[in-house]
Amino acid sequence: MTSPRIEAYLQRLRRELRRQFIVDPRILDEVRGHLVDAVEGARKQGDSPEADAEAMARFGSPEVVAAAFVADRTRIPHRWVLAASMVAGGAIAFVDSRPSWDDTGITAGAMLLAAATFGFLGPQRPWRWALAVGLWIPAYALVRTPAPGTLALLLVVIFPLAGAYAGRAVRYQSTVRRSPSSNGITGL
Amino acid sequence: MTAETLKGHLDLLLLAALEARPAHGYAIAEALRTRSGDAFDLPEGTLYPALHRLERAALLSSRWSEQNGRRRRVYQLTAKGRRSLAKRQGEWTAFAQAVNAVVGGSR
Repeated sequence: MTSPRIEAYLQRLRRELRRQFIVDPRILDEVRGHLVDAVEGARKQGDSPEADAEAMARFGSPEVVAAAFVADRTRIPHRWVLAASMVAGGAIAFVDSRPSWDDTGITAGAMLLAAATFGFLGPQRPWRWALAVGLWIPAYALVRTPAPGTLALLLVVIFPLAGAYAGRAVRYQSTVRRSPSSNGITGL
Repeated sequence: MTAETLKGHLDLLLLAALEARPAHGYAIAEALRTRSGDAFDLPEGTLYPALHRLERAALLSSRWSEQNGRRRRVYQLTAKGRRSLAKRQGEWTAFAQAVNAVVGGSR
């Protein structure tokens, strides 16, 4: 039989998994069954009043368990996403630096779209992809015109930041929608 | 033995734990603990991502089973899983013999 302690653990695990973009009621059902069995096993052996706590300690903290699921499910290594976002940012900055190029709107839109794609692919670290996409233009401008006023160009990072977090939000929504049960916990 | 030491061997251990009969996660964790003489210091929750991965790789299959009103996910080896286990057991035996020959020989 489940207990308030087990349910509290499951709530923490559910929160931790959702934070990592994993919404899978099967995980929580399996964990609940495991913890109930473990508590019963511990009680049979020593009838310890702390059987729940011991069972959960052996199972691992919600953070550790969620991290194990993330490590196992991340299909695209983050270093590849970082490399791709740097290449995309560099390409956008290169086009933007051409003397014949005079369309700031398209540059901003390209940064936003590129960062949104990377935010979707790697929702755990959207700010990283935003910086990798957006820092090239101010960096190039600083190299060409090293003046304090050029630092204002750092504001362009707002576009990839907005894009990356929008991509992350889309990923989160699609993860929740794909889940068979959006509350994450189903009955045993 | 820490989780870091077990890294890379977990799949083999899980497949071996399921060789004799299908089992649910808690029974697999118990089998690993008792058969290893409590040597494996692994958070039991970290077995599940590995079990799910092995299932995605079609080395295991699973189904819900209900006993005394309680639902449990039971895992079992597939034919592909049995072949993979036999191959990994052979590789492990060769590896362990080689390591023993080097480490044991230095004493």
